[in-house]
Amino acid sequence: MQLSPFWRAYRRMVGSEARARLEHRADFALMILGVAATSLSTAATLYFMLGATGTIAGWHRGELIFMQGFMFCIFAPQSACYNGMFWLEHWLKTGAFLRFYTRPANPLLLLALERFHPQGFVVLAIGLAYCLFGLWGSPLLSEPLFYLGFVLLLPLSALVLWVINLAAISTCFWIGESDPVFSMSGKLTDMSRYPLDLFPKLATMIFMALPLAGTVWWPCQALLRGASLPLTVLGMAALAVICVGLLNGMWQRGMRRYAGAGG
Amino acid sequence: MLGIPFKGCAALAWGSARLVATDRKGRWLVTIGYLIAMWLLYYLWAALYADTPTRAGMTFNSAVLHVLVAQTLLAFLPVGTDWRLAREIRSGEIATQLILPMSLPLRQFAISLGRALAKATYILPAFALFLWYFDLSLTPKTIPLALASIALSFVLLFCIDFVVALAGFIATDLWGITASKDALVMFLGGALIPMAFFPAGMREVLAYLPFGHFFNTPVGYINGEIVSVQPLLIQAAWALGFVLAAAWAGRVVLRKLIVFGA
Repeated sequence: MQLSPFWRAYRRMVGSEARARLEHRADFALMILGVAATSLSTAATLYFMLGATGTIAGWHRGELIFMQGFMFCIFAPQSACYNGMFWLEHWLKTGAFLRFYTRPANPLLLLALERFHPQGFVVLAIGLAYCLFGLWGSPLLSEPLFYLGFVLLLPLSALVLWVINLAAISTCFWIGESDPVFSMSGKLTDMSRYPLDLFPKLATMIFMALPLAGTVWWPCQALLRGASLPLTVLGMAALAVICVGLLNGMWQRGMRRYAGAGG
Repeated sequence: MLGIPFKGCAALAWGSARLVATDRKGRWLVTIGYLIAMWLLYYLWAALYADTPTRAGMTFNSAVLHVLVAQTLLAFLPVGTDWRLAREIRSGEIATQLILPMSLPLRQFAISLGRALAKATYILPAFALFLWYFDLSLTPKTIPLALASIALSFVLLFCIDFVVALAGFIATDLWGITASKDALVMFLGGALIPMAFFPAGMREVLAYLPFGHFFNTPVGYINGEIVSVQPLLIQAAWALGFVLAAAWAGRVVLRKLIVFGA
């Protein structure tokens, strides 16, 4: 089968990056430690916070752990394939970004060609373990429709999260420093792992508009709380398409605005 | 006195504070992000206490104040020394720093102090506004001890960041070690939930470790939960140990420095 030039380049890049990362075993072990420590501290915080009652506003510990796990799972593709986006600000400042103008492919695809990080698999494994742990003993685990919903909604939610994070980072096309925007959106993303009905109406509206509700809340309504799966999948697919379209537009405008870095 | 060039340190601290303070857009965005996070945290904890007046022996007010104060300290005390220094090591800029007439740890400390103080100038008024809006109040019993504890917390955080950054001389990717450090410091330090929520056995073990002094001790003084001077003395002892360890680590690791090319 003949692969397109993009996929050929991508396969080569994934191979060489994965080999390079795995060659430094101590560094890779530290990276796994970082992923484990971050995810464990998040889950342990939730676990201890709920205490003996194990519930918060009608949500059980298991459901909340599932939601945390779902967030890890949808972060995994970004962690593996789009680690390069954290370098965008640096490339813009040094002028290294100019290479994006000279290559005949969509810049959002080119960004995926920059880095591949095998740590994404670790994030995915931990996320799946949390999802399983959260729903252990639940009748949901024996329903084929649940698995179908999980498989369909996971990539769509991952796309929405990727768009939100990359859009926050891409503000550096306009304001130079993306750290403050990314830190602000990161705080909101952190809180979007919790059921949105815990928060006041205004906050819920903000979550829906951004649309952080598309990362965990809407999918989990269908997976855990009996909301219509076909409608949720359709809605999430439409949301993902709109989000990617908006991000593409944002990058086109950003790239038109960028004037390069001298020196 | 002690061979510390106070004038140089003050100039560096002032310069780095100005760098932070002059980023007006960034300042506003960080403050708004901080306020939104605090607002959401308040409602998260309110929902947690909706059906029970006490959890882990804490009322809603004491628990939420603990979390909010800890998050406020977290918003301005850690200033990314680890990432900044690691970038300088990676780019080779560290070589220029090492020939300057000031030791590397002291120089980094002055820069970090300036950044923390600058961030405090806009985070603390936002915190005061937040407390006023939600009709919450802090009741420190001993303000000098609270301030001393915050200062020592800054020293502890700086030292651990500095040592982690030195790993940049050895490791090729610092994300793993930095993320592990952040998770440990925030979770075991009591920045995410009060340590009263931890199981008794875990609390006993943590009492012998320095983590609680990163956030739990200063928060205790600020909220009036701690009055005795003893926790401050233990915190000071840990801070001294961390300073000596950071200085030693700096000396050992800098011997590994190799500068390539022109």
